[in-house]
Amino acid sequence: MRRLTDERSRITRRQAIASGAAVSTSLFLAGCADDAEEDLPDDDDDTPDVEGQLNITQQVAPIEWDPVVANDAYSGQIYHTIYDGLYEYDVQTVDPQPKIAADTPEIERDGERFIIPLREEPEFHDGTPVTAEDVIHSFTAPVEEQTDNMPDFDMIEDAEAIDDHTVQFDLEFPYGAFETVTLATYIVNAEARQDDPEAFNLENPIGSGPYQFDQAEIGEFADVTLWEDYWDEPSQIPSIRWEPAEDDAGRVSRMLARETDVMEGIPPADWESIEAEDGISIEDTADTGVFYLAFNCQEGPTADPDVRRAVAYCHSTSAFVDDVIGEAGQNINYPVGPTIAEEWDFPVDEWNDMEYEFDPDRAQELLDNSDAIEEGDEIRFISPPDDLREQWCELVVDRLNEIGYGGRVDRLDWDTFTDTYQSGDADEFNVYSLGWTGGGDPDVYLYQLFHESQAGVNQGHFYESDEFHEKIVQARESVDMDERRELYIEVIEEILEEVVWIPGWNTLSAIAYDEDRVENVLPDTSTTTTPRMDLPDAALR
Amino acid sequence: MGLLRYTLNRFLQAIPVMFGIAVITFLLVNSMPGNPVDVMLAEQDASPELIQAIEERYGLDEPLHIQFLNYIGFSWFLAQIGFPGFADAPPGLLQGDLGLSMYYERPVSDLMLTRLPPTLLLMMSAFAFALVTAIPLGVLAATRRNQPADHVSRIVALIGVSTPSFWIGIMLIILFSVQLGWLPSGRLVYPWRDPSHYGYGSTLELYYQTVRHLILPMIALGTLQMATIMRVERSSMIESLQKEYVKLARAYGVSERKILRKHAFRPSQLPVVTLVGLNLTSAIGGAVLIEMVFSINGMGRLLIQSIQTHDYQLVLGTTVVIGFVFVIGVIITDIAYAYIDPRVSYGEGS
Repeated sequence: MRRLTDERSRITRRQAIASGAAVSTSLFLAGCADDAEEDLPDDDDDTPDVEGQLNITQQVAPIEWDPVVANDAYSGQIYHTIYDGLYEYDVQTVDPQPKIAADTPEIERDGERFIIPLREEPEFHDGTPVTAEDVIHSFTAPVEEQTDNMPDFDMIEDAEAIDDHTVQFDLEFPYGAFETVTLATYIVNAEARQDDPEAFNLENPIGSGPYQFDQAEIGEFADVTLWEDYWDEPSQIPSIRWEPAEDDAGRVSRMLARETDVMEGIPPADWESIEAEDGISIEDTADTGVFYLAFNCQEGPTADPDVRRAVAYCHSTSAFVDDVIGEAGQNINYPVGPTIAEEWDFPVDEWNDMEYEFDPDRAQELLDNSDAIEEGDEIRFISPPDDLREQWCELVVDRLNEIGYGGRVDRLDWDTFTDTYQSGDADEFNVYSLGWTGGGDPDVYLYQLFHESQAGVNQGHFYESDEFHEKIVQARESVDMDERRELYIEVIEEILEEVVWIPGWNTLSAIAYDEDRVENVLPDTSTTTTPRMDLPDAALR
Repeated sequence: MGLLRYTLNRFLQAIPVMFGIAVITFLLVNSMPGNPVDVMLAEQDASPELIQAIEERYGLDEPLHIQFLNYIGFSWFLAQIGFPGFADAPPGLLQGDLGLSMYYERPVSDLMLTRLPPTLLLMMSAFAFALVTAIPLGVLAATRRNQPADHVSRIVALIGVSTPSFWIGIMLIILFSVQLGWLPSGRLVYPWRDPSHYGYGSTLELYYQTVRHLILPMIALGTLQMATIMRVERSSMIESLQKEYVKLARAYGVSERKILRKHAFRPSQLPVVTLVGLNLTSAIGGAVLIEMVFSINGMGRLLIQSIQTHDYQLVLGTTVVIGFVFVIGVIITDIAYAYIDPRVSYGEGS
């Protein structure tokens, strides 16, 4: 090929520059011009003008729509409108109520068998009825396909359809949380899912919920539209679009500029400014999460309970929560979410009174009298990559330094953090800061976070006490709610007395919304169902 | 040597560089502490069987050297020739397969194909903005040296160079979206989509909204490029205007306008061309932040999400592809340089 001539190249460049300048200038002017052509849209509304569409901004992009496979909260925010659960929690509670089930389960064989009658009227979006086979598939597929949700169902030994509208589950052992947690599972259309699992997950999910999946572009938007033949009381909102905005500033700006109707994931630092904005309101409720400091009870100085008590005495968790978390959360001194505590009528006032008050003299006395630590020794804290939890650790270390005992905080990436606290190695850490989203039953906290079988998996405190662990298992394998409650109270009181943890705070599940656009849109106790969009009261103004 | 052969040579020379990028990226990602499956199953009571199943699904149960052969795509070639032990080897990088994202459960290449166009749209518009503003301002500053126009241009350039692009983005959003309500605060409207997708009535309306949504991120990303290009343009023009041939032209009575246009401007563009090519990297880095601030669904945001979710295959894929884009950018710069400057040879001995 020959080289282009100078003359030709000069003309090309000049033309390119000239045309580029013209295009850019005209684009810029066209974009800025307020008095552009008459057929152009109203500049005041940057939300795409789709009639009857509610726009919700999420803090993380959802990724998939099949509840058998999906286990991220932000996908759940969308698919909870597409599927109905066998049981569903009442809004802002952890009280499961029959949805596709016709009644509460019949429990036999001392809690090893659950027989559940189903309603006859529910239908999937493709017009087929919801049957016992669909329920069985929804509960057994996670284990058969070894999906990430497998641990939630692996206690099921056998599932059988007694008839089209009655299902029977046999468990490997009596599992107390089966009724309160496991049965609140979304029901998928078994036939459609088995035909093409990948398409079901990514393109064509079919449930029996109030909305039908419409379209989605991952990282950009997900749309659902009202299913007009919904078997239960329908919603009043014709369609919903979720759009993610991971950056806090960008998400808040969208809300303040009224480019979205609802926003979830309110950054604590922006709470007050959003609340002060005319026309924007915040609705909140306690969620099921809990943030905590956990001690290495197996090795090192924090194996001594007095050292743990000293760490608790040397700072005020409640003052930290008030100052740093502010209105975005609440201080709690127990290791389960407040909604669980309320549902189970736990003595939370008594437990909150057990919080260690800030008493540096008492902390110093305990440390001076302990053989496990000497003045100048360092207590090593590890924090995941999260500013709030790191700040908490730093506060405690500052206070330890003030009374002559050292400390350091290492902020680790998630991989390293997980590996480190799971190791139980006192050379690597003495205290770790973590959070747990929990669920609808105390077992989800106390077994997963305290039982010895979870040491090196979900917990790194390695707390030892035979009676303590026996009580946790006993409560897990009982279906007598009163017995379970008493056992859990004893377990929690031992945790507080022995300072296995310092419980910190519960973040509020909250949404901000445009008062002129929406009404009765509520946050729920779980991020997965916030805002709760399957309720008939929610409406556009 | 002709331009075509020169171009082919440059691309051939790039192959070992790209291979090096793939090797280094693979080793770096694999040397990260922790196991991606542990992160994936954090906060779950995962059984050893589940962990093993996930490791098998993503090929993480293989020894590192086999994982590397699989990733590059050598294993697939070995499978094709019937080499024992590689019968079920999956296609890899050489076959255009970047693996399966652990977080999204979709092919990495599919994810990148959907994310690349918005990033290219953003970067091209930012560079267009930068060139259209920086070149006239640079020329103006050079021809009005030490006069008020020059001082203003230099101050603008200094501010542009020293202000982080994400901060500019946030300030633009606060001013033009939140306070004035003139422009949208985020995301892009893609001109290649159907207008009905956004609820717009016509293609004109779609283009209009595309421009409106593009203005703030374009300025935020393009300001740094504009400032650096303007500084180089100014100094390059000053240098050209002091050359002997310019003095000679002046002595011959050639008008300043003609000197500027015909004798000084063209040679001054060589450093600018180099700069634009090399600035691709900083533009990609800037695009990462701008895409997060403006919620633009591009490659930068995908990279951040892959790191946050420890999506091993996606981190690998995005890093390798961004590396390849940079190499290609440098090659295009070299070719453009050779094309513009007659003094640059195509590699023949003189």
